[in-house]
Amino acid sequence: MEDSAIIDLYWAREERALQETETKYGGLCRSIAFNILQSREDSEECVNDTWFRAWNTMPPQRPGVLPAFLSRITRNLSLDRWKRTRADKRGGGQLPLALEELGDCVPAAGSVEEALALEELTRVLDRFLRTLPERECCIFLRRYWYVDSTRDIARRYEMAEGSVKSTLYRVRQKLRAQLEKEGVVL
Amino acid sequence: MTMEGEKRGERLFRAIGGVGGDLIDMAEKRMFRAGLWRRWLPVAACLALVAGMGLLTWRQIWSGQVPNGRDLASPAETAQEPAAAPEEPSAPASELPAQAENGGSGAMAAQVRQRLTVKGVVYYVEAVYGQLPSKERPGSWLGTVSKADDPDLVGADVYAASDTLRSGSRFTDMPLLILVEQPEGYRFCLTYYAWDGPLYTRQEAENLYTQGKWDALAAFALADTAFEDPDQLDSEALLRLFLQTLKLEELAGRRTGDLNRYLWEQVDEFVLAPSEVTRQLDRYLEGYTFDPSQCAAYDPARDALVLQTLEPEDWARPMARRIVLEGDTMIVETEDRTCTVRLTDSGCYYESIVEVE
Repeated sequence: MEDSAIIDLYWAREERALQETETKYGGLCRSIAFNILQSREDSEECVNDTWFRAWNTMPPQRPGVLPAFLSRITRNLSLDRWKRTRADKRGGGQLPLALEELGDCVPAAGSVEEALALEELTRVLDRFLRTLPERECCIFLRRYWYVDSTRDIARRYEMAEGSVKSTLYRVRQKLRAQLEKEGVVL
Repeated sequence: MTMEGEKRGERLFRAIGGVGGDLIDMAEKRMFRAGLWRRWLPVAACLALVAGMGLLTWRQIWSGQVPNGRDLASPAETAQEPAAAPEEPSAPASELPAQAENGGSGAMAAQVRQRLTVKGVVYYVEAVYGQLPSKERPGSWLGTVSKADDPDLVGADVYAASDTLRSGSRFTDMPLLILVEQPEGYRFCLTYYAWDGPLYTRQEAENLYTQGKWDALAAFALADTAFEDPDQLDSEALLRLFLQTLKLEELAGRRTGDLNRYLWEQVDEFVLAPSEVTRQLDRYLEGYTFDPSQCAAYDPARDALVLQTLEPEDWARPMARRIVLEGDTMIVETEDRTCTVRLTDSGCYYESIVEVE
């Protein structure tokens, strides 16, 4: 079923919207949640919460890119859940590694007031990503949006894992330079 | 990592979460084939070098710049030289426009999700994303497409484009690249699962479920087979189920060291001891009764089942509509069947396969 037809089902408040969403995007959302949480049960709950959240937000929302809309919800829910559960058990999974890599990209803020608003930071990142060659942009997003391991990225794009790592390193350096140029501190 | 560093990382991670949906969509759908080109680039460079040197030598010979150039040619070539010489230099140039035309075919094609069956192995194809302009065979021949959702692909030759395929890992869940030969060139297909029998351990099945590779799991729902309890199955149905779940390598491994010859070259018949059938069925069913003498293929003189082929007759692999995993039970829904499988650490046992309206 076309995405626009699925969105229409949400707007018509037909429960079939959830089934169609599950059929078409269940796998995508499940893999994102699993990459972050490394737990099948937790991933399943996050995906179910995603459908619930989507049901509550459409209407009024009408997303332009439905998979991005859904996977963004899954990602945020998974991150929140990861934060809640990590107090009990630390380590494991791709997320701690991804966060560590990203943490090195930006200088620390001198004070709370210097911290950039999240929305503005997102705009800076969006602009930055659009300046990258497609390949670098995709590799960066696979790592830091989908939280894929470098090995999975290498398989996906038929590259050597070392090339993926070096590309990520280069992009992080570029990002750091860009953030410094724009005076971004976190 | 310090708490501060982690906090910054998390903040950046959250900010990345808000970037444009078009970028996210692109990262999900976009495929790159640079890896393949990079793999072939050294070969292409060597060929170009050899061709360039050959052409240079050829021209030098004909222009008289190599004093003993005739020593390089055979007597037969020497006899033909006067006629061939004037045409030779213009031939490569005349091919250039055609190459440039084909070379522009790297644009991404529409994403396709379909099945290709080659020598009994089903390749679940996730994307078809471009064409190789060359007519040269790019890798090992895997076979001819016997079935496909896209009828245009039936009869096409398929070649491996990745080492993993040749090394026998085609039965894993790794994505593979295959090339399908078509009149206009080769089409790239990224497969996300290749399947030759629904034998999974509990862990494998759960991994496929978690990764969203549901079409691979849909293979549980065997076509042409339906039962609410295994003891309902008669011996012919059990033999068919045996063929559908057969791991050909394992069978061949017990009989011959030459797997390819055993499986794919013309053979007159396959002679199977009934114990081969029950050994296989025991992996999937409990509480069934198999009586080989009730099968048409049974030969009492040899006390064996004699088959012309080990491939079941015309049967299709289903696509998944819905998969539910509840505890040890996996319920697989396809277009026309609902299959219930109990997962254990050693295998997966069918409890029922029910046709649905």
